[in-house]
Amino acid sequence: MIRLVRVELQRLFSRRLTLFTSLGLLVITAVVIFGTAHDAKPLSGQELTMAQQSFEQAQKDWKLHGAEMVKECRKAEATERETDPTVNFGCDMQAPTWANWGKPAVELQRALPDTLQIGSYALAFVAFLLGAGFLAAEFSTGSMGNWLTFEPRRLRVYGSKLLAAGLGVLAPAVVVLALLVGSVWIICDAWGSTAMPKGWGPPLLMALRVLALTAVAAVAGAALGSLVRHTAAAIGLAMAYLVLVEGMFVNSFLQPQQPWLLLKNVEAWVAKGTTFFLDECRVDQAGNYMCAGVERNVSFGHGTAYLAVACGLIVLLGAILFRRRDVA
Amino acid sequence: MPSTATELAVSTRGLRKTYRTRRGRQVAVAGLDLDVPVGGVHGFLGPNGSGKTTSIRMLLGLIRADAGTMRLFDREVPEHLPEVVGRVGAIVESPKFFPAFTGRKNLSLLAEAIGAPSTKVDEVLDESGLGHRGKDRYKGYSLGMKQRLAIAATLLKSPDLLIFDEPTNGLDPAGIREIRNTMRSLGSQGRTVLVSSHILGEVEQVADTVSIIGHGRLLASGRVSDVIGAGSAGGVRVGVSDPRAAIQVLTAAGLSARPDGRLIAVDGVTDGAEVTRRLAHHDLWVNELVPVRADLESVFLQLTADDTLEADARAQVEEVAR
Repeated sequence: MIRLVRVELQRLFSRRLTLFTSLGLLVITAVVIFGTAHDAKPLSGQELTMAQQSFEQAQKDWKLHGAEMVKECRKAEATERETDPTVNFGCDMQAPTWANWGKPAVELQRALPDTLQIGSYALAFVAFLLGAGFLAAEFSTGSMGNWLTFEPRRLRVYGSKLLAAGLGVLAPAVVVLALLVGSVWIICDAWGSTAMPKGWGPPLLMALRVLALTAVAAVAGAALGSLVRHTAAAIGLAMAYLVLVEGMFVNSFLQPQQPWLLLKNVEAWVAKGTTFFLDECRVDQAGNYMCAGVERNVSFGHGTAYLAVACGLIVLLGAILFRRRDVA
Repeated sequence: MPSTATELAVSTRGLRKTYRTRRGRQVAVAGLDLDVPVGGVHGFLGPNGSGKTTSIRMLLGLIRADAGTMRLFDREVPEHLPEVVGRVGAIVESPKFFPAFTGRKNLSLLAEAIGAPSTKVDEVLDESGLGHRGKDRYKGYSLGMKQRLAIAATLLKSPDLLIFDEPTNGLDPAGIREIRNTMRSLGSQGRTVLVSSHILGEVEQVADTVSIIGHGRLLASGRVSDVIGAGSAGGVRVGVSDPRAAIQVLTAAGLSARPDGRLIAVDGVTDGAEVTRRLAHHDLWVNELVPVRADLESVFLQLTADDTLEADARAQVEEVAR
């Protein structure tokens, strides 16, 4: 088995698709880093001057009209409360402070998890593509039949290919994560703060979870590749799911089902839990149709179990069919 | 290492495979009993669609048989295929490798998978005449080179049994000759070569023994000379000035004579002198005499034609029964 895995790893790294995909991954990484840098970039001198002028103007306005504004606000609120006692106009206004103007400096402890989260999607998608193509190409070129005349134990063959896909993507993933972490650190060091009050433990664990997600995506892709036996079909299925389910239906009738959709669980796994908003609509006593966004949680445990079961099922189904199906 | 002469390299009993198609079930192999003796070249003949490739795929564990038993070197397969697969090299239909990899890379991966030393790759590449093209991508190979690479791959295992499925398909005459020589050479080394083909001349030139199948069933099997002998007794073709009179004379003498173009075909006669003597007695002088040697092709065509008629009859009976 180890020998087979070694051979499959050799094959994986000899494929041109692996090379091109890895280059594509580097491009995506560069774009993510550029985005982070763009968001973190401090204001230019001209922007700072404009913000300063705007702040000073707000201070002047507050001094001249602040008390009157609060008074008017409270009066309007009281009038409204005669019909609806729950209404709140937010009249406890404060004098303007500089923190509400300008741009807050970037902090490593916040920027790093955000960047890793974005990176995790790119890595998982690319790993899925590599895995799917890795197995499907063998069927479409017909070389699977040739391979099985050398090693007819199908489950070993299947296992070695999936294992190689999962292990093989770890190397480019480590490079990408190192680039992301290093770049964000440099950006924060230059334009913000690199302080990590909670230490490096949480982001490192998050990076490890991203690595695990990447391996799982490659394994699932390989299993799907063996099921559909064509790279384009596997990619087509994945794209159709992402566009239709995660892109369109999630905002309509699938909104309440978000805890059972892939991306939300990926997010829950990587970020150790996540939230989503659900529109809860009702008709009140006055007969008005009202909707309010309610925040719901998807726990880390839920995400972990979901990904484990989903990947386990596809691998199991792939194994059953790989063992039984005729090979042309 | 070559096996003992008492052993069978391949043996199947009642082998059956049915495919489900849009038009219903299609029987590809219908109870095939096949014996391939160890050593030499065994031709596996049948028209296109007769079940040759399906049978080979079942032997190699690539597709599942619906019924029957299969043995390779006395080991039941596919259950014990892993134990004997190292003794079997096979090319099923066209060679299939990774197109973007070089020939050498393709072989290296296979060699490493079976634990063969890397030196074996160069050895088999040289042996198959691809030593100088090993670093070229497989997709740039000609059909003949692809076939040679496939043979090189089978030799990585130093196999006792080589299975070649239609090995000369698409090859030019030089390529065909090369493959034929390779098969003959492997057979003479004590290895067993099972070559499936629908090209009779090719098999007749290299095979020691032969099995002929049609509609997934065995029609004839044995040494090539025995199969030819059983299927046809030969004959002569005779040219005379009055063919009609000659046919009457020969038929009256109890011979089977019939017009064959401008000549007369006399079946079942091995001695041409008998024909000329009988005709001369009636002043019919022979101006041309061509001995007709029975060959595998005529036997094959006879057997498969009969089988087609039988298959049609069976189908009609089944239709009436329904």
